[in-house]
Amino acid sequence: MSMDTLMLLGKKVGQSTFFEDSGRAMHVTILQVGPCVVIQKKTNEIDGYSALQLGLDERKEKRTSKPLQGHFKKAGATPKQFLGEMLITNPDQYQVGQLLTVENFKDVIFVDVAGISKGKGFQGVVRRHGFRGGRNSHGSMFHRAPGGIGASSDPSRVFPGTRMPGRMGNQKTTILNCRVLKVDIDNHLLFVKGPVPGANQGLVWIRPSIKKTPKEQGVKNA
Amino acid sequence: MNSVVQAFENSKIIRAEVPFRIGDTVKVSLRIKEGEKERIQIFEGVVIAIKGKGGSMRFTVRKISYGVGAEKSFFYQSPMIKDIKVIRSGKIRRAKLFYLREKTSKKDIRIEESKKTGFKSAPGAPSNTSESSEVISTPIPETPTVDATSAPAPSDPPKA
Repeated sequence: MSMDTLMLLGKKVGQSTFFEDSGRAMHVTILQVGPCVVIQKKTNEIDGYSALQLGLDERKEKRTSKPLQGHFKKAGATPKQFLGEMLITNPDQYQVGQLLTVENFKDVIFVDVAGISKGKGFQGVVRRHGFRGGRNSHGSMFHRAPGGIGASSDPSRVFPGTRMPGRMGNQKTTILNCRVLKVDIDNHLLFVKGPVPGANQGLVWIRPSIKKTPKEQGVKNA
Repeated sequence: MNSVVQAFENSKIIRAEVPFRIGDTVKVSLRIKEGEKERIQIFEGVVIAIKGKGGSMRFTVRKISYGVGAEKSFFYQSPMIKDIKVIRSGKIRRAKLFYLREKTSKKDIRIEESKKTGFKSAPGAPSNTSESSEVISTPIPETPTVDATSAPAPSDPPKA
């Protein structure tokens, strides 16, 4: 699909069980999507790329730095908690100060949801990279250690990207093709099937699935 | 719980009263869709567990079906459930009746009938006093019970 995929900011609200029309029960994650305010249009001439900057959620003015206060004032908006960008070829189809709501998703069947995954701390290779580890008994002295990380005097170094222990989680993770179960326009809620990365109240990025064809997204005459 | 999630949970509630307690023998009528047609399947047994509350309340019913133990868990607010009738109430001293899984003999799985109901009967629930004290009426051979918890109950003909 083109670069002009709509992408809105939202927050993960929580999880529950959803009964489909057929009566089947399934996991549902409730997302609060928008309302996002267009704060700034980025253009090729000035910024080198074209995008829309969106703001979500209120922030106290006294907690906003002076430069940011001016930035929001320029858009005629109150200070926002979160800012995010939506890449778009022609930002001029939107106005600064315009509200983008979950209504844009009301006919969408599949969405991609990105969030910042929960931090897992410093983890070993078994948890972090799925190494098998050694056996625990029968005199084995090799349990959860990483083992060899490369050859010896040739190349005399460890190749970049070798999987090792380290910080896990707390990074942007995208779940593709989450099915939309329900859209609640009045309360700005989007109900998607299955889990979504991150903690409750965490920031999420939502866009119509980029890997689904228009036909799969329910667009007629596509 | 977050108030938005709570509101969604509450929106699922289609049955306000819970007519049964743990230890009661219930008859659950399920809507089964086969192609276009819809039929009713009845699962009758003892309520051995109740989990959660409100819109996400679940309960587990156990029965012995042709000598094989079978359990089925339901969402109490599921639209698949047509109705739930309480056949008899049981006198029990546990919050969860998982010990019934270990018992095989008819005598051991019997639950004494409780005179004190203390709950509101579901509308139209028959006060069936002629029912014997057995949990269910199918004959139980001396075979070890095999749990078919996740699998649907072996296709029993709906008992009238």
